[in-house]
Amino acid sequence: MTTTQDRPAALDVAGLSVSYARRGRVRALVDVSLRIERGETYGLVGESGSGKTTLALTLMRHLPRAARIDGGRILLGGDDLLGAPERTVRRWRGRRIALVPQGAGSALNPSLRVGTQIAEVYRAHGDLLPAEAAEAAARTLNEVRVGDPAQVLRRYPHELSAGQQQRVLIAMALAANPEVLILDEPTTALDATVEAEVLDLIEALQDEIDAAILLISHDVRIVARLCDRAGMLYAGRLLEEGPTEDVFRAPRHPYTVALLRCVPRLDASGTPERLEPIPGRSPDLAAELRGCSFAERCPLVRPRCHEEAPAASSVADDWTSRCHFHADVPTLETAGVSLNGKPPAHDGAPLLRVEGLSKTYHGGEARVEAVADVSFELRQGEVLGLVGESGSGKTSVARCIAGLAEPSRGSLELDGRELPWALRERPREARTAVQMVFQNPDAALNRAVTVGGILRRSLRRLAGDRERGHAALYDLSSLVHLSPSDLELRPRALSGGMKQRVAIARSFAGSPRVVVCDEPVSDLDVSVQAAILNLVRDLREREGVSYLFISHDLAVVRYVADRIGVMYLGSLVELGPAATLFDPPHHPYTEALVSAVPTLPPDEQRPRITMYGPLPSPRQPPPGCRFHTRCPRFLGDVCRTVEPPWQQHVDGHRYRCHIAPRDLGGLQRADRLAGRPPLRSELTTV
Amino acid sequence: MSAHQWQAAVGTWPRRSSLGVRGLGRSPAFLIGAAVLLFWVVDAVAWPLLVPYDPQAVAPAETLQAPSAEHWFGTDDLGRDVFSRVLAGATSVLTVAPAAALLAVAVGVAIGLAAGYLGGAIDEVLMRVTDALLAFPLVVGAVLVLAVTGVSRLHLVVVIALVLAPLTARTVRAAVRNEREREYVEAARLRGDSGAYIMVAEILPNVAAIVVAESTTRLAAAIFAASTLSFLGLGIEQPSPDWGLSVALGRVFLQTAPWIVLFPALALATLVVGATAVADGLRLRIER
Repeated sequence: MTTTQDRPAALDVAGLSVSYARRGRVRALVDVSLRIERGETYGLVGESGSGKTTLALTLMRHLPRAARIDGGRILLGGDDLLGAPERTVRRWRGRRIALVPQGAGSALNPSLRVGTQIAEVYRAHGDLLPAEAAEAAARTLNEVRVGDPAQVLRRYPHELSAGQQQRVLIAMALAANPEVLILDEPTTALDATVEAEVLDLIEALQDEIDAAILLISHDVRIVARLCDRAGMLYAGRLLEEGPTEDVFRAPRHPYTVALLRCVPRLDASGTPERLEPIPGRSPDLAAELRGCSFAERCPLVRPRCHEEAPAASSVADDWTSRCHFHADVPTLETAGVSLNGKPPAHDGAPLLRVEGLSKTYHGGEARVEAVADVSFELRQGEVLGLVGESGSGKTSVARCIAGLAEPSRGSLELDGRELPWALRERPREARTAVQMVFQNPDAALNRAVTVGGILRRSLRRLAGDRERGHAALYDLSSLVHLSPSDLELRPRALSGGMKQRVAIARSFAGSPRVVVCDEPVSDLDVSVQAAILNLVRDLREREGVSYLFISHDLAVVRYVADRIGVMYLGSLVELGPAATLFDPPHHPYTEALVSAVPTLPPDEQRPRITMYGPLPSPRQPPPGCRFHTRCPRFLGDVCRTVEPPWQQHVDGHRYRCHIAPRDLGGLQRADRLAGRPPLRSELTTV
Repeated sequence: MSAHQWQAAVGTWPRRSSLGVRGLGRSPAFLIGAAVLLFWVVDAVAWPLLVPYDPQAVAPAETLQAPSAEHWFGTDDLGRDVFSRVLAGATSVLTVAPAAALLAVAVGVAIGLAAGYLGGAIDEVLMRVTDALLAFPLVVGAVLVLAVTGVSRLHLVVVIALVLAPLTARTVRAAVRNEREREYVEAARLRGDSGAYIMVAEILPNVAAIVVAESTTRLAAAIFAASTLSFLGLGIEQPSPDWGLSVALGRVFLQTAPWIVLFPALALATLVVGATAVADGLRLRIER
């Protein structure tokens, strides 16, 4: 971060504007300026459509043909990037500026070994013999903390875990020791604990490499943890930028305030009782925009905002805000009431009882036990959250309960009466009673049918009513805040959040008792996610419905759920009230999950608990306790051989472990206070 | 930085989702193909207004004349005007081929929907049957069937459709299997819709574009098949001006009067190429 004045910044973007020829001209970036010094990390926060990816592509001089640079300049270490001839730029790519693209899974060539792909980078830079390139590849993998590089080099991308794939990509970008490293959504689609590991790696790299890092993310928590400076990109305009700590502690642009209020947090003290989604939608970038791009959604809006686009005004030395009234922003309330004020868990009667649910998939020789002996009950009017990482079996549980998959064993009761697993055996009332909302709103709506058509069909099949037709449709759409004109549209014309509203409305067509939500907000932007989460909570109050709410995001589950179940490798390892689950004593796996969630502001004191080794294959789950191979609180042989018992902690809170609540709580609290992660070797005796 | 990374970086770019019909209008291959196709369709109906001579009028004094101002495409061995016969010849192929293509697509869509949606044993059986049909060469199948049933337009249509349907079935099945993975199908199951309803009302509209492209592709193939069969004497009978038949009959004069073969063959080629160009245009448009 310390630079001498005469040395040019590693990356200096000034007044950059980019547009696309599509429906007239879509202005993707408007007058964007930012500077990153060597050794500095700059976080660019933006929701989908904000222009993040366009900026990354412009910096790589890799814009699609329909794009046009309307103005501005980019200096790469003082050299003009936009004016340089293509041949020169080609030489710079990788050597001077490198990009780690989004989506590690598709960014690697599936038919080439990892070693070949990394070595190719070295060879492309021209100065190494094949043998030297291979050696260099192994060295880079070491740098990005890949265990056993020699092994990994021989593998194909699909044989690597998502975290390893991401590391390999980072290694490839670092290969030529670039001056500027762009990380485009480096942890999107990764599980929480894997995300934490990748963030740890980036943090470590910050000390080791001298490059300027541009980290592009939709997640303010990640930017807050890793970046020196932060910029808020909205509708192609950089609305606020400055030192991360200042920007997030005392924002000076209403958009920053609004975005922070949408983020559910684990640190209970900071979370408002109710998230506040940003009203309205982002502006149409193809339309002429005279005033401030955020004016339509801004709580501080005044007539001037519609008339005159705000210039970047200086808040402090290195802190700017594109708001006419940035001095008034601190009057906006930034944090509301804490989560502790949330209504107590519903103590309703048991509504749905799942007993001994197991689901085994057979594929040729392989036998995968996706769900192993899971039992729980869902009470009347309750939100039961189910968390776990990919492969934990939570989606299988959801699909079995909804009737879309048939389990190998187990029984299901609704209202004390047995409910058949198979959908076609369920009577109509039971079918109506259990409905489901899916993760991907694009795939969940038939794109050939209008919104009205989708809802009408559900009303007819689930509510069985024909007479009320129009009134029922109106009621249903207003339940999820859809306007009558939306009913004419086809899904393609809807935003992600509106699609998910339609999907939710569909599940409520026949007054359901239980709605199974499988990751309903993971594909949505933060501001939209907040609106959907609020809708889910409101519908519970209004309709008295119970939810089984599945998510990989603990903060989201914490926000909506009364009770939470934690799944690991097909089995339920912990079940308890949301209020006690996040504090010791809790299952060592839960402990690791909780510690992996980034907080806002970042908590330097909190130890990150690393799990050991890779996730075991579900084809051969470990004997004894399924978690023993990775458990940071591993005891010894008993964990390897004996299936752990359920330990009762307080009323309604239980977990499966050999360590009793008193001992486990003591250990976990002590480590938390000391700010140190547990050490497996020390824990052989309790 | 490697080529894969570049690909990946470009891949994050949102694809152009809809090109619109305007996109098709900009493709010259599609436009020319459509024009050719339109010309022959109009001709197949309106040829009596277009021909300079009666295509069946025999003129013993004017046999095997080379192309001239009077007979643009020359005359054949019976003195008939080749130009008039070429114009009149479109009718037979354009009655059999579209009917056969439509029937093939209808059968193929039904099989593809059922196999793709139901899966399992039904899929196995249907696909093995279509594989068996695919393995039969057109001519062998046609000879077998037409020998038993006798030649008629209806039989021709059915035979050609049977030969072409398996290809459509495979394409549609693949598309349906893709759709079946989407959650809207599961949502329909959750509200209690039957399999038949889901196939026809939910999935079919989403594969409609593919069906349209299939139809034009199969049309080109059906035109070719119909002409092949009449060339082999298994289709339209004398004295029809059908192109395949004309080529077959004119073969013996190839050395002395090549125009008898050349012009019907060219006409057939333009029609097949035209239909293929239209099909390609539509397919590219859908794949985009």
